[in-house]
Amino acid sequence: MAVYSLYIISKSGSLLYQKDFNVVNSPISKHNTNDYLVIASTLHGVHAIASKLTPKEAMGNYERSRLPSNSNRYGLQCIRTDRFNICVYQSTTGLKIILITSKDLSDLSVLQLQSKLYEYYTDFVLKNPFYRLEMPIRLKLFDDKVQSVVTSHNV
Amino acid sequence: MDYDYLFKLLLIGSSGVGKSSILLRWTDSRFSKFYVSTIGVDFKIKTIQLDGKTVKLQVWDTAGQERFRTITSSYYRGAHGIIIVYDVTDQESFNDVNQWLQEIDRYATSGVQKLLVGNKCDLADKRVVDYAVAKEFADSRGIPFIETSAAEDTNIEQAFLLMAKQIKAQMALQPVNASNKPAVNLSGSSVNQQGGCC
Repeated sequence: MAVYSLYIISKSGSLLYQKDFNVVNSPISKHNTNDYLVIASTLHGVHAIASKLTPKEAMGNYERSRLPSNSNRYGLQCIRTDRFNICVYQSTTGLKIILITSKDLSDLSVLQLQSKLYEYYTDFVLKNPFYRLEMPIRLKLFDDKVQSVVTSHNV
Repeated sequence: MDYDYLFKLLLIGSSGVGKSSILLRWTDSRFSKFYVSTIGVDFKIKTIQLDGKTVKLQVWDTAGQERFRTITSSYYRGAHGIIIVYDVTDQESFNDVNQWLQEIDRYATSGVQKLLVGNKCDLADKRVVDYAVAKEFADSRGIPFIETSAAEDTNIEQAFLLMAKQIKAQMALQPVNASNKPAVNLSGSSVNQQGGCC
């Protein structure tokens, strides 16, 4: 079980935070910073298209079936490939926490991890008086927290 | 994360005015005479130094064609700057500028920086929109105006630098995401709000 990468995307589709985790035999290749920005904003666009495509009638059932604490009701939730999954979590305020994980990590543990990461975001990013909203997150404390919580999943 | 700021810029304007060409000239110093319609949205990123800070300008190059405009509102959201492009050899594209400004009012953040760009100014013999006319229009709306040519690399760098400086200056003025909107009402009376978060 492994988490390969984390993307945090603002409600306007800009990349706020990106981290690749050191995992042996990771199927995710390294890219440069600009590529990460493009990946993030593209996912943002695809998410918007997915919610646009959801028919009005379907939304009733969808509402009931959604996992608790996840406000990602109509948008893109997961992309499954042969080697990894891309899981999208969206907070009520529109912040997206996207994890690229191994195939054997359950939906529930991914959701738990994303909720935890969101908690860290509110505690260690939003409450930092020097952080400017919607701008790249460059905070040591947040970095350490992310690293430790994700590493505990990478066994 | 090796940069301090990330600015979201949006390029809008009618189909074929040269939005993608301006961008290609700016990022790759190239120009192509062939027209390829942008599908949905394209991204180009350039890193600049501004007052000792590393700033990444991410430009969202939107498609001008009507059929790609279904999820436009999600592109306008949170943009720091919007560049409206028209073609100086095409009166229609200049007339459309008004509609683009209306779209900005509808979808974008209220304090967004705007810039009007008249492209293809190298085609002097085909020009139909006078500089003076466009300048007067831009002044009446309080929007900076510049004429460019992607083909001959006129004013391209200046246009983006102008935008970046404006945004940076505005951010310095408003340190904590302040806006002209009224503060949050804590007294408990209900506030009429439209729409959800998406």
